[in-house]
Amino acid sequence: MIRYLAVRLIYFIPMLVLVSFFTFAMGYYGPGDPVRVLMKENWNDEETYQLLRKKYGFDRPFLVQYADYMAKAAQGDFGRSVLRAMPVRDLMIPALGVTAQLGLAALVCLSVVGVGLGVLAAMRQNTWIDHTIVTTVIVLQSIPVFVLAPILMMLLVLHLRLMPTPAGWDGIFSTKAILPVFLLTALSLLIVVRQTRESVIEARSSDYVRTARAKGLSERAILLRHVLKNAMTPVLTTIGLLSSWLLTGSLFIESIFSIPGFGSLYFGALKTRDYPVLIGTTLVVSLIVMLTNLVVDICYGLLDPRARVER
Amino acid sequence: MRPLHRTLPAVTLLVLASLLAASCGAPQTPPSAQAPQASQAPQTVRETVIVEQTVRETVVVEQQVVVTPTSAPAPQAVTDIPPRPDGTPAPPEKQVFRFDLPSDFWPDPISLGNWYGEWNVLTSAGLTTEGPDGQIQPELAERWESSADGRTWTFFLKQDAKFSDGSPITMDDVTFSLISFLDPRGISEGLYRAPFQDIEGYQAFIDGTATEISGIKAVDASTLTFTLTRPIVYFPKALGFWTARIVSKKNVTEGGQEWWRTPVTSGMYKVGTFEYGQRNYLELVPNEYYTLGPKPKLQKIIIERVTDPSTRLTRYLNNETDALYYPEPADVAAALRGGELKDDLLGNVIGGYFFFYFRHDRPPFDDPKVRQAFIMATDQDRLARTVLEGTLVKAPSLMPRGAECYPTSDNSVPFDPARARELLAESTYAGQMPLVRIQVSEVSGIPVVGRWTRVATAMADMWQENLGISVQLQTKEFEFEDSQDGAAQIFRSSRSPLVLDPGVMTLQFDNGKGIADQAKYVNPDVQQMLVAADGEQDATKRCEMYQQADKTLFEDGIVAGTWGISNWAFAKPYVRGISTANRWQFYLSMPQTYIAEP
Repeated sequence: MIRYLAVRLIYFIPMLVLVSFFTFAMGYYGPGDPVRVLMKENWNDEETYQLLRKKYGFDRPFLVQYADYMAKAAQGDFGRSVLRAMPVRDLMIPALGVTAQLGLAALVCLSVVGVGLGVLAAMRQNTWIDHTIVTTVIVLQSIPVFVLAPILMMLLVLHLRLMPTPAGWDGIFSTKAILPVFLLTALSLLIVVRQTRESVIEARSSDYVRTARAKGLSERAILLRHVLKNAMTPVLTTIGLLSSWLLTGSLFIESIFSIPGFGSLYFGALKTRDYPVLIGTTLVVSLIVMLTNLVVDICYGLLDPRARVER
Repeated sequence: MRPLHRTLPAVTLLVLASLLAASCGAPQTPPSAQAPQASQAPQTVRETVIVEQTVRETVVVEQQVVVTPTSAPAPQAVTDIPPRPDGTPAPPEKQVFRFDLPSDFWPDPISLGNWYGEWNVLTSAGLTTEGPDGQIQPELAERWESSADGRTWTFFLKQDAKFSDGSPITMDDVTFSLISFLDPRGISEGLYRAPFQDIEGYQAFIDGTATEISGIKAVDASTLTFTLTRPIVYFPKALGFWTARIVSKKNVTEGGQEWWRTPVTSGMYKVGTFEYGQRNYLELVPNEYYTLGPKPKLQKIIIERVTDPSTRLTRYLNNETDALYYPEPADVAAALRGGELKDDLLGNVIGGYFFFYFRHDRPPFDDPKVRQAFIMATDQDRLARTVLEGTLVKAPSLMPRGAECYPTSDNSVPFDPARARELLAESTYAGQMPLVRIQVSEVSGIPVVGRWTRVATAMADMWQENLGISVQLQTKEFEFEDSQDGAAQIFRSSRSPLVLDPGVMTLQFDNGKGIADQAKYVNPDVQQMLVAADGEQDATKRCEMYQQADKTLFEDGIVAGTWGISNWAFAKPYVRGISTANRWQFYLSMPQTYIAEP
């Protein structure tokens, strides 16, 4: 197991180098230019443009810039944002904290509500309960978040007067976090509910459940001791993979609610071609995705001994 | 009876649909969600828009655009919203004014990375400043005078001026601030340095051959001179710009790159609370040491970053803010039509403008007759009334509105499709018109089909209808992207006046500068006229020269269409004394603004 982990971790290095290289190359050769964006309507003042390119080091050859960036990034220095007057690291650390809180809250809700609804739908297969659950989550998933979010916000704030406008971030226990967490959960609910429902239905029709039932075990005991244990392996994998998405932030949700998380940081940098921020956030997102995949693999092995044997 | 399990999903859908519908309905519907009160039935126009998605790939998108005829009352050419009547001021503890900004902000008046930083006029003093009426006023400078040849300006500073920490504002602070602002390599990007490029020795300083700007001299502790390479009558106005402000040298040099986290201010307000990072939040409170102008009536100004426009609108409607800065054009259009927020609307046409310009070096627009033909075939008034829904007006001049010499009549080229066709027939491209491409970049930077894409589409339709020329539309994220492929000949752009003076035309249209550089426009006569006007002491003669230059610029076909920027904002009816000035939203009226008793 330790050897397996070590090999996986070593693989991270070339993967991060590849990701950073491609991100850097796309930024360097792609359309847009942070200095021109910074200059706004004076973008054609060539003298200022050249002075600013020199100031930010963008006048150097591609490989020199890339090598310099990576050397500094390895020491935790991701450069300085061109448009936000701060070191990228100082922008990323608090943003990661905010997004992690949001993501973890959504993950808990997703696990409790998604798994609960999935089990309920499976237990009441083809009844009105099943149909209602599945239909509701399909509808929630089908409405784009940039439509659903403002509508829910106006409904809850202006019509029902249930809360102040959820704009900004006052911590996960503030009322401002309710709607973003709900939307983050709702966006992934369909996947978890359907996965859970299918797994539970499959487990319930298996031979070992039939045997347990024949032995006279109650339905509750069968569900808890036999069905859930076996059905949860694929569900956990699904939730694990979703967690990398939740922990790296949602561009739309964070932007709509002005949440200073990783998603809005990335989105803002993308709009303005703020390369130091774009590359820094991309590297961190890549690392998070790789780490969560690793954790999922480990958990998978712990839950399913067959996976360990195969390794 | 139908089984419950069959009907429940439908019921669920119905409930969700009702919730969605309810959230869009009365009584709190934001203006953007309201249906226009059209007096005529909408017409459906089928049109083909060619959208070039990448440099090499062109896709044809067919779309239906519903053109709603103007509602009753029909949108007027935008007139200035009259000032609000006076009211009884609320007690000091209620003098709190709150608004949101759409992007990051920080208290640094001399850095131009600060996109929405105009509010820094509240916290920082300049040598001069501008009143809400656009007139230049003394601030840190008590008075100023020019030499007989108009090349040397001497400013006499007030002696009792202090920063918000009680320390005196010295000449050293003044020169440090100005040089920091003018040096793109320093702590400020120095992007708006154009009005100062005529200071003697500035070019040598930029080139690195001089360590100081020789034209800026502190004669003594209270006398500062600027020596210019040519006479410029409007120079004191340039020093009123919101980035040419005074910061504390000690604060900046000791505070490092993020000195603005604990700023010492020179303006009427000081920073009470400032958060930047997880939250971008600022509280301004009166600077008790400020003696350079009137004391503000508002006891607290609260600014927060809220990036999403619908969230900003929700906060405003929910009384969480008192003003809505930069509302969406659709919300303004709804208010102009008499919508829910009509009494909250503030606004006037300001000195800046949006425009489409021709590249004079690219066929067929290297022929002046083709440029004239395209301009005469464009009904700019109609575009303002219909596609722009009355939120902008056709600009009659390239001078900034509100500045002296601004014409009372229209200097632009009139709409005349018959003459346009004649000119086209007389041009060198008659019968052999190359492919014409118009490039649109929306303000936000993201390639969305926004209002400028709609305006460009309508312009293309007009040219098709009036000249029989089909024009390809291409959208790019940024205006400057064309410099990489050189395919388009017509572009959208905008300008806000760096100086509220007709002299700003020299900065924009002199050869090799500003818009002239973008359009590759060269006319030595215009250059000579503008430079001469800048130095002319006789106000009447000066205005005549600018007027002539203005007309020549239009006749030379530098712009395909120009619309004056309107300075729209919403403010609650209890906010009094507030007005949008010729520039910088409502900030210049802040000294007079107060909260009135209901």
